[in-house]
Amino acid sequence: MTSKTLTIALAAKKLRTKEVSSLELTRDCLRRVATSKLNAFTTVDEAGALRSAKEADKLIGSGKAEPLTGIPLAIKDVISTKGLRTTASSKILDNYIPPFDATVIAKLKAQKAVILGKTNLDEFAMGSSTENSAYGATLNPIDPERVPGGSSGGSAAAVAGDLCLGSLGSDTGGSIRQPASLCGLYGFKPTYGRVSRYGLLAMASSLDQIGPLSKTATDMKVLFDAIAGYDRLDATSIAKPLPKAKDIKKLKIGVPKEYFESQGLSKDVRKSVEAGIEKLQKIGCQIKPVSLPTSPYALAVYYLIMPVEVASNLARFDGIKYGASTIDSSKTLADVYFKTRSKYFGAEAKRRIILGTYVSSAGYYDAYYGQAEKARLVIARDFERVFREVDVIVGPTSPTTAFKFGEKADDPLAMYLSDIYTVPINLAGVPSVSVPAEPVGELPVGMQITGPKDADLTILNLAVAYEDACQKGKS
Amino acid sequence: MAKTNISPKDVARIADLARLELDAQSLECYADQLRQILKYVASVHEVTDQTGGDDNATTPHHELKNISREDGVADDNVGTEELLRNTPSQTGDMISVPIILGEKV
Repeated sequence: MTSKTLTIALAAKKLRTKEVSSLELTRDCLRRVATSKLNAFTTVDEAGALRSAKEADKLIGSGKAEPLTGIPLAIKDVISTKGLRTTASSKILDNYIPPFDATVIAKLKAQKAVILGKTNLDEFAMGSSTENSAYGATLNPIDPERVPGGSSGGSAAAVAGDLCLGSLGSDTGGSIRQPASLCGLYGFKPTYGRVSRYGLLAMASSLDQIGPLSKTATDMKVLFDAIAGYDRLDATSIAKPLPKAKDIKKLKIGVPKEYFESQGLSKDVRKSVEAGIEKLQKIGCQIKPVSLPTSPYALAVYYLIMPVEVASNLARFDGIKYGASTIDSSKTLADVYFKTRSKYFGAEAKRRIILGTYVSSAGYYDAYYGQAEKARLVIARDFERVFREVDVIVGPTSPTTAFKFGEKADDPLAMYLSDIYTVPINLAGVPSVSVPAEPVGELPVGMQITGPKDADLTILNLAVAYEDACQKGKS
Repeated sequence: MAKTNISPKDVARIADLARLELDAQSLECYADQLRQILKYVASVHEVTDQTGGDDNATTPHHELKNISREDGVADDNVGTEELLRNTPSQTGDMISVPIILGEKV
């Protein structure tokens, strides 16, 4: 019995029938992590994982197992875990040990899920390849010469490389969906406010959302169910319960023409996504061409709003309260700020802090940040208009398959363009999943399904129906 | 339209505001990259032309209202000792910092 072929749903079943214990599953995953060359983890918590596994086995023995009891999971290293090092893959938090759990972690622990450790990411979740990590890049398990995507690249590689059964990531402009796409997984960015951000190290607070990465659509649903819900500790958390899912077979699916007109879209990815749309048609969904005329501008809007929030959020790293510091060698307070931040922030973090400071500074605010905020609303309204015509929209998750290391590392703009399909969704705050489409050769392709605000359960159910249709196609 | 011909000197001024020290080579490199990025993001004006002068337009979360919660003591607070465990420099149960008065910030 190995974890390699297991999904969360199957493992939960085997745990309940005592075919396997959580301790066996956990040991198997830890063995695999120890010999893995993917660099998916920043910190492995062997002792903690084994302890949780034993507790989980007791709970299962008493017949009180919940869907994630005893399931070995991996957590993006930007989510606070009490007593377990949380670095955001930045040298500035190299030794930081959170004194509290993020709400999502508390929820996983309440179910007695097993947390194997923390996964690698682009520093402070800024990047699309995991090459910006202070702890080295993560490799794509499908082709180790290629990036796993980012910023949740470690969380994606850990699942795709069979080092765990599922993982949590965070998504500010595509950081769950793009790595899911590049590693052949399911990934979900929920409606803004549906999963608590308490304990998530903030990148851009109006865009950030925690969500799952998994091998199957059913697992994605199980993970979402576990972490979703109102939280008084997050002021943007939504208290109203999620509405029920719509009938999948009656869904009207919009295909925005702009998604297929963009120059950067690879022909192979296009073909693969078109085949995926045909599968949705076979389920019984009605396909309708629609238009999202503002979507080509979304990336420009994103790269004005996000850096301003980044500059503001990363101002807290000053070498005084926590994290790495030059305080012992600095003579004045200002010196601590300058030296600490300059020494321990990586190049991309600095680039975005400077960009965000520039476009929000006196004299430039109105021309840049102010305009972007207005444009953001136009984009959100564009989505609202389309969702009066159709129930969900479908398109590619990423314009290309996984690219090679170094290919875009020296050209920030080229790297930013790999998020062209994912960022509009964060600007509008709507929910979106990436599901695997037909691969191009060995390389996975993702299809993105997006719904209006609070249609989380509808698009998750559609992902499950799509997965079923793909399975039937194979057998 | 704001200028997009940002110079290394501009970057130095902004870096100072953001409490970052950059060497001459980094200033050149960031200036060059910021020029490209700012040229790209300038297209945002083509979108705002469609707002019809809606100056109150802000984020799509604009329907969010200020919320308040009961003014009580939470029982899940983190204690002083635990909080100070990550502090780089401390004296007793206080965070200590270098001299503040008299310096140029």
